[in-house]
Amino acid sequence: MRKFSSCAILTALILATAVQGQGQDDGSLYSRYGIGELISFASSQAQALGGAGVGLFSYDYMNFSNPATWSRQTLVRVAAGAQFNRLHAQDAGGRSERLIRGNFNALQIGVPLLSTRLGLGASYEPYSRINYEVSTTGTLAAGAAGELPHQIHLEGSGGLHQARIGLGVRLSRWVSLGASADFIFGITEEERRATFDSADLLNTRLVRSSRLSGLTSSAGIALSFSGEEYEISIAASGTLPVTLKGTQALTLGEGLDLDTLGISITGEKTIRGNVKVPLRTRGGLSLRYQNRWLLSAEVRHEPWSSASNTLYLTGFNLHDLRDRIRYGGGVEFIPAGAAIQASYLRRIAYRVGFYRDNLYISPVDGTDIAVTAITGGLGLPTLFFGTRVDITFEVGTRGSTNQNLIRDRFIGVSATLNVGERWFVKRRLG
Amino acid sequence: MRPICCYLLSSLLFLAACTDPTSDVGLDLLGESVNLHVKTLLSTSFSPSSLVDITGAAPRVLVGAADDPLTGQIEASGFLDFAGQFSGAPSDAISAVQLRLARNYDYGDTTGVLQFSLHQVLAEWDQSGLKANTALTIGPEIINVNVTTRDTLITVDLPLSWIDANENLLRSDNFGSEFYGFAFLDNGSEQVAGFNSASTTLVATSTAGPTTFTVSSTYTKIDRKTEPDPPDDLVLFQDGAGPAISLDFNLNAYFFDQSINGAVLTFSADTIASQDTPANFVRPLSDRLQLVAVTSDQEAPAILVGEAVLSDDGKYRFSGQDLSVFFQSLILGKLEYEYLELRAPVINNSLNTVLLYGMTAGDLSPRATFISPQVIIDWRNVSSGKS
Repeated sequence: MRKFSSCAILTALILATAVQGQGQDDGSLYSRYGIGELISFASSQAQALGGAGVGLFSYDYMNFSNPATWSRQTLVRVAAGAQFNRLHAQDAGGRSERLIRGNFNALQIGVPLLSTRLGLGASYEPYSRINYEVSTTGTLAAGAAGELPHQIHLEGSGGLHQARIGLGVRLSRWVSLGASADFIFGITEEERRATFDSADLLNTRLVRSSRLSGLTSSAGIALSFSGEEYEISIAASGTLPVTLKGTQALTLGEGLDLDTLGISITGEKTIRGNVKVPLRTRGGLSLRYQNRWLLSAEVRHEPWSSASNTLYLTGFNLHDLRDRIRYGGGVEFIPAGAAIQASYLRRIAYRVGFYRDNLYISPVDGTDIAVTAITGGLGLPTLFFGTRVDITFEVGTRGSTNQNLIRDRFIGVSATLNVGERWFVKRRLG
Repeated sequence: MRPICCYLLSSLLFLAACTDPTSDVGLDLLGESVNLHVKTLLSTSFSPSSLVDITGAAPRVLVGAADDPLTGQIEASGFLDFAGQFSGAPSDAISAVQLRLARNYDYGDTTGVLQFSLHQVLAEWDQSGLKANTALTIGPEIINVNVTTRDTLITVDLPLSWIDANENLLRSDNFGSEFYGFAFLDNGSEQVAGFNSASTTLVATSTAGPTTFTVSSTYTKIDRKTEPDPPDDLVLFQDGAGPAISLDFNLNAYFFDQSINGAVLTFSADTIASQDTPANFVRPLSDRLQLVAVTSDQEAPAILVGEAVLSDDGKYRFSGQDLSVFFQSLILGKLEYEYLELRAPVINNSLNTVLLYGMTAGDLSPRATFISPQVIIDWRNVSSGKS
C-alpha cells in the first residue's frame, strides 16, 4: 500500500512538473499585471464547490483555506494534482485565439498528531502566475531611417509560490482553531523581444526579472454544531498583510550576450523594493446532512486598494488596483452516504458550484475585471480506504471586450490524487 | 484504480503539450506599449575643431597652394620616397633621371599656375601616422617646376648635376634604405594638384635601359595661411587642412542605461553654397565623411564609429549595426569618449570641402534618431518611489 502511494505521488509530481513546464506561456493576458494572476487551491473538493472551503471539514481532504479544519484528521494524507485549461481569448478588435496550458495545482500533506484533535498541515502551491505571450508585426516610420519592418514579442512567465506549515487544534466539540506560517517566494520574468528585417538594427531581448519573497501567517477558526444527521460549520480565516521584499533587474540580450541594465541611484545593477500585499479574509459556512448532502459557501475580501509597490510591476499603480471580493458556493451529493458497501457509482461524490470574482488589478482605470464560473466534479473512490481521485472542472468567463479589454472564456479540468493512509500505528500482539 | 490514475494524469500531460501559435489578442489593450519608440535628439554641440589630419601613407600627395574665398589660403607640400632595384650593371652610366607624376586631383584656380620646387629629403622618415603639420628635413632646391597645363602626367627631368651626385646611390642595392625621397614645395602656385602614388615613378635611364623606381612612402604637409570665412549658420568642413567638426548629443538625458535597437545620425549639407566658387575655380565636395569618437586619452586612436556618403538630397546619414552597437555600448556605460568628430577618410588626401547646416538650421540641423523599445524605464525614478 505504502509502495503504491509513494509511486502514485511521485508520478503525479513528475507529471505535474512536466505539465507546468510545457504550458508556461499560454495564459491570459490579464496575468501580465501586478504580481500576476492570483491562484488558490484549498482542496479538490472545495475547488469543485466554487472554491468555497473555509467551513469545510472533511476526513477525506486537507483543506488549506482554513487551518482550523486541519484539526480533524485521522489519516496521514498527501494530495497532488495538475490542471489543464483551455482558453478562448477575444479582444475588442475582434481578434481571438485559443490557448492551452497546464499547471501544477498543489502538493498538500496532512498529519494527524492526535487523531481528530490536533493535526499538522503543510503545502506547496502556486500563489500567483504570469504567463502570456503576445506578438505583433508592423512597420515603423523612423524618419531618416525610413520604414522599418519589425516584430515585437511580449512574453511573461514565472510567478510566486507559497510554502505553508501549520497546526489545527480542536479545542472543544464545537471550536477548532488553526494557524500557519506562509512563506511566499518566486521569480517573475517579463520579456520583450524586438526583431528587424534590417541588418542595420539590433535585435534586442529585454528581460525584467523580479525576485520577491516574504513571510506571513494565516489563522482560522471554525465553529461546528452537529446533530444526529447534520453538522453546521461557521468559519473564518485570514492571512495577514505581507510585505514582499524584492529585487529587480533588467537585462538586455543581443545575440547570446546579456547585459544588466538599470543602474539605480545607488549604483547597483539591481533595484530593491517591496510589494505590500493586503490582508486576506474569508468567511463562510457549510452544512452536511445525512453524510449525503454537503452545502458550502464562502466570501473572500482582499482590500488591494491599500496595496503598494516600489518596484516596477506592470499596472501596479494605485488607480489600477481594485478591492477583491470573491464569493462562491456549491453542493456535494454522495448517493450512498457513508455506506461503503454500496455500488461504486453510488459512492462517487457528485459536486457542482459557482463563483464570482473580480481581479485585484485592472488595466483600465476604474473598471472591474469580473470572473464568473460554474464548477463541478467527481470524487472517485478507490479500492484503498481513504484514497480518492478527484476530477474537477470549471467553465467561466473573465473580463469583457469593452474598453479594449479582453474576454477570456475558459474551461479547466483538473485531476487530483488524494491519498490517505494510517501511519504511526503500534502493532499489538495477542 | 491504478490504471485510471495514470490514464487521467497522462491525458492531462498530453493535452497540455498542445499549444497554439503566438497570440496577437490584446494589442489594443497594450496600446502604445507594444510599439517601438523613435526619439530624435538634436546635437548639443556642432562646431569646427582644429584637427591635424593624418596625411602620411595616403595614396595621394598634394602639392601647390590655393587662395579660396571660402576656405582661405592653403599651402600643400608633397613628399614621395622611392624604392626599387637598378636593373643595369653596376658600371652602367645613368644618362637621365625623370620624375613622372600622375596627376589625379585638382583644387583651386584651374587657369592658374602650379609651381613647385623639388628638394631631396635628407633624413629617414616613417610615413605611418604622420600628421599634416610634421616638418621633414630637406636639402636645397634641385629644380623649380612650373606647370601650366592640366595634363594628367607631369614629367620632371632632374638636372645632370643631381644625377652625377646621386648616380652611385641610384645604382646601389641599398637605394631603398639610403635614399629618403623628394619634397615638392609650393613656389607660388595658384592651384593644388594631387599625385597618385601608385602611378608616380622615378625613371633612371642607363645604357642597359630604363629602371623604374616606385613610390614607397608618401606624406603631405599642409599649412593654412588664413582662416576660412564660412557663411552664418553653416559650419565648414575641409579635408586635410581642416577644420573638422566636433559634435555631441546629450544621450544621458533620454537614454539612461537602457536598450536601443538602432541609431541614425543625419547631417545636412548646403551643397550649393559649398560649391559656390569664382569662375574656373574647383572646390571638390566632400562626398564621404567618417564619424569618430575621440577619447580623453589624446594618444589613443579615435574610434571609428561609421562612415556615410553624401546622398542626392544633400545629407550624410550614418547608420548600420556598428553605429547601433557603439551607441548601445555608450548607453550601457561600456564605452567612454570625449566628443564625436566628423572627419574625412584617411585613405586619400584632399582638400575637399562641405558646408554643413549648424544647430540653428531648424529641420536641417544635425540630429540623431534612436529607435528603442517603448518600455523606457528610468530606474532612478523607480527606485525613489512608486512606479
